[in-house]
Amino acid sequence: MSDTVKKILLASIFSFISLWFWIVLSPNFLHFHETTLFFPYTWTHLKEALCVPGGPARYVAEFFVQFFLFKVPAGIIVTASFLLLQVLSWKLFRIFKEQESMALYAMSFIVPFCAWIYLCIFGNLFTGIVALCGVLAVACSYLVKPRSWTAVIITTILLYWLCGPLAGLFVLLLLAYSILKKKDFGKAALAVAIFAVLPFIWHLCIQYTLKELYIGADYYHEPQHWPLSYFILAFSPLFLCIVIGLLPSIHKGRGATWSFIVSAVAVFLLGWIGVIKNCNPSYERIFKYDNLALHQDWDGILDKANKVPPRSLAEATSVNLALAMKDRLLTDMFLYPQPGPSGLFPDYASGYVIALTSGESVFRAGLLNTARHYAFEEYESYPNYRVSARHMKRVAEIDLINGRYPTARRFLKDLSHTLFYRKWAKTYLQDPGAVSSDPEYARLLQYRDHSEWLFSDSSDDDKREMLRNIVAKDGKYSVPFEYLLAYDLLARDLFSLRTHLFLAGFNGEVPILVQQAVAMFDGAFFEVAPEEQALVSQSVRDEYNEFRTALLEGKTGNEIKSRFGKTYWYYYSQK
Amino acid sequence: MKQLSQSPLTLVAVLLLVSVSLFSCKPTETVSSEDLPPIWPDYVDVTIPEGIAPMNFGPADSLDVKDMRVEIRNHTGKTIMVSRGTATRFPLRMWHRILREETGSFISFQVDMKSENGWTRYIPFKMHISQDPIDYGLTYRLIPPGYQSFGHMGIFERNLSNFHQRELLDTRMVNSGCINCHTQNRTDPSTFSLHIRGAHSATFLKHDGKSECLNTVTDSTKGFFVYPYWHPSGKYIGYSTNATRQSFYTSADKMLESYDEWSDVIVYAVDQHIILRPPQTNRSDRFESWPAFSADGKTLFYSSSQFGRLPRDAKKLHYSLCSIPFDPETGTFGETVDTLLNADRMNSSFNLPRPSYDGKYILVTRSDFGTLQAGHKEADLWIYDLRNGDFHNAGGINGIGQDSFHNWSSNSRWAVVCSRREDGLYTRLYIAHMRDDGTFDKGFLLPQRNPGKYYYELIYSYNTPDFTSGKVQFNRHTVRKMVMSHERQGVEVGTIN
Repeated sequence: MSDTVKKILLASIFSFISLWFWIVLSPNFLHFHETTLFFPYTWTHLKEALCVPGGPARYVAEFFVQFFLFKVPAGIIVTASFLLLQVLSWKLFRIFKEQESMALYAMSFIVPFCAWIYLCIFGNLFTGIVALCGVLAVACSYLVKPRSWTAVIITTILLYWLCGPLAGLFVLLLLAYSILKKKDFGKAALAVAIFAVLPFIWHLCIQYTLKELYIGADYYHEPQHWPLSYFILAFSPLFLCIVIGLLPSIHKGRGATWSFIVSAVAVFLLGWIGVIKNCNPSYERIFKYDNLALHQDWDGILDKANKVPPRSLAEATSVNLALAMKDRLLTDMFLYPQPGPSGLFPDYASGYVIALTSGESVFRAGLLNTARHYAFEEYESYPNYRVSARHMKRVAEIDLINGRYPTARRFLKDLSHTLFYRKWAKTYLQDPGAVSSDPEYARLLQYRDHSEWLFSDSSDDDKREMLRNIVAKDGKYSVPFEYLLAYDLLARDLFSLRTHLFLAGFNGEVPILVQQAVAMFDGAFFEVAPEEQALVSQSVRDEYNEFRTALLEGKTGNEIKSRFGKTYWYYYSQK
Repeated sequence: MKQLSQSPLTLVAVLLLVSVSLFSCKPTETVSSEDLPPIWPDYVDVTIPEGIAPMNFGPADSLDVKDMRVEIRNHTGKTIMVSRGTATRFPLRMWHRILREETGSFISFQVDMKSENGWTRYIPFKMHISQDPIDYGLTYRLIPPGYQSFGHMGIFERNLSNFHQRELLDTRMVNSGCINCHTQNRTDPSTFSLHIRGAHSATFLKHDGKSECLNTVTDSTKGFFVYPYWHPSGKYIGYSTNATRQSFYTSADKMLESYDEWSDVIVYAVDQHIILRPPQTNRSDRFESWPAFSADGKTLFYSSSQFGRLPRDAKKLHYSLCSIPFDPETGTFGETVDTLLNADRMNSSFNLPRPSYDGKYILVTRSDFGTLQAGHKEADLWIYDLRNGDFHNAGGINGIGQDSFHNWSSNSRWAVVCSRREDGLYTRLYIAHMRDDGTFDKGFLLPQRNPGKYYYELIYSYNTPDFTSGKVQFNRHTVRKMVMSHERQGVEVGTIN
């Protein structure tokens, strides 16, 4: 097998695994990057990027991240960036070790694997990878031939501006190269000196802290925190170049083949283990649910929940939303684990990841101002000070539904400068009244409330009161009605359930969980009114009697669970 | 070549070309309109100071205008400047020369707009150029118009004679802490108070060339210092201490209500680090907020409301405008509280009193209820005449929509106000000139190089604006160093001996 074939084979294997991982296993994790992004094609946006060190790399990265809205382009972009890193690493290795060794070629996949691990960790941004590509590209083209003193100065200054503090890797590579090759040490020292001074100069001009200017500000979500994965990514090319520079040459022959096989297997195996150890399946699951909810794929959510029951609050929230949207919340709620009323609308304070799913639920349930609150908080409070087009769209949607056209127009104009939100924004910019012709918006329009009642959206009682107001006004069996009764059921508040039962009519048969709850009224809590009695079928009554008998007979928890685990009675008794 | 350029024929040809191109710049087949031009920002009939930056404008947002031609004429009707394009871009030097020449008079604008149907000529409008000078600039905070969370923000200074904006302090510099209420003493750029909240909480004071970071929490004052107002002597600062919360409306028409669950007014003696805590402004049965000293420093104004249970009683809270005598020599207060504007009787709420520095007026926000006016569309500025007790609407400074946080220029002839009149969400700054009759001329939006683009792309609200009579003496590195050091000057409740 020729070396070229080996290279193509190795690159193909890597690409295949990467594409499979990002398109099949973990596409929604990348989608979240897009969720936190607003990328308008405006001069102002570009100018903002050009005014800070690393801004150009951030701009390029964000340009690509907007395509993360779709999983295949996202996977292709990420894989392509990894391959670019591999190609650049390989070039660097050959500069440091003027030898074509296939073992070194296999080792050139270490940097892409580090980038992969870096991207698997929540909060790390694609900017880090783009900046690293930029730094390695410049280092490769710089080191291929002797450069002038002017070139050192200009390259270091420009690279710092283009890629930010990761340019430090460039000067360290220069230094390592000059030491290993025993040449141009003065120029390398000059590059180090320039790099040492540059953050100070920028610090005088812009309001970034020195730490941010030395270590980096735009490579991860929280500017003041520097994850270990970032340092591993940043220093891996330097470390490898030094090691490779010091290693003895591997000559062609049997030993070279074995060293290639061993190093390829080791790099890929350890790299994959690193990826698996560092990726976070729970985030992927939450983002998957979030993505499905965003696209109103309620069947998709329930299919997923049927395969693997929801484990977190955010997942339970999405499943409950899907059930409500399919008019099944009051029949099938207990087919899935229920964390209590907070599984309907988790509080915003729980964190901005949970707020994604919670925001979707309150929006679909008609709690428009609460949804606006959640969306706006998300829109403006990402720790890296960026704003989000997705949340901007949600705020605009709510303002359109609420008839606040001037405010909506403000956001629509911003969105009209983006690539993937433009079409939607332009529709409503031209005709805000078109909101009534969209079936989902038209549904939510019915829930628009004009009563000036103040609520705290961290209060469950207030949320319930808002639902009650919507249902009382609407008078129909609806998503808010399902949520209202589900709230009472999950809160084990039969008194409240009783007051809400007849706020709206049921479509045909009374949902089974409501029947089960009403059956509990009888004899246990209230004097049951005839119209309440009429809600419960004889089979439910019989089943409830069986449940009570089982309890009285002292049957074990497992026995009761296996027989009645999906009933409201079981949930109610598990306080 | 040389010969050709010198020939009379070439000269004629060049002249012909120039005149043809000039002629082609003029609108052809122009339809006259009886309306004022639909421009944004609305600068029609505003009064501006001589030193203001070019008042650029463009067609109103919803219009599809292909081209616009604007002629500026002086008071005699002579055309002195022409601008062409989809928005005006008046040259800075020429603009200032024109304003200098026309001070005390007016300039008029003839606007022609080209749409798909051709050119339309609108009736000219005027800008009046006041003889009253305006201060060097403004300071303000830029912050996303949020709910509970806060993200990126910064304190800025803007030179009013051009478009230069300087960032004084960015939230990054204080580890993402909230920075707010940058307040100068009567526009003095060397004396100011600034709060930082978060992990490195402090109140940063600069006065008499000294800088210090205060820890303003004491056992008896419950919370941090909040809304500041300097005593004219610079020896005291009136502060409120507030526990501000938010609740949300179910209504599609309103978004949220901010209120104080409790609030008091204190006076901080700057040199002694003593909090003066008069019982009259620290009552448990009342909410007191928004302190402000009179021009002579002998009266402390503030807003005060009956105690209420919140948010239930939010709409019942009516803040009256009150005053209490203050002796700056001894740091003592008079016994009697005067109610200048009785909120319950007038079924309104009066907040943010800002006495003019000439001692004639108090500019106050009037709304239906409450103390913080975010989302109060009805909030307008009113003027209380300290000389005769007359109380009237402030006039042209108000717009449709919420107008609230305001401050005076050092000569008390101009005022700046935050307003959400454009889109109901993002606050923008309007400056208005005070007439001799005690009302304001029509306010104008803070000019920008390209206001249509600038304001539509700006995702921040303007907040807590104030005039500054010079460049603010602010070294962000010093501030950062002090704030991050955790060294804090303590304060204590007491009296001045």
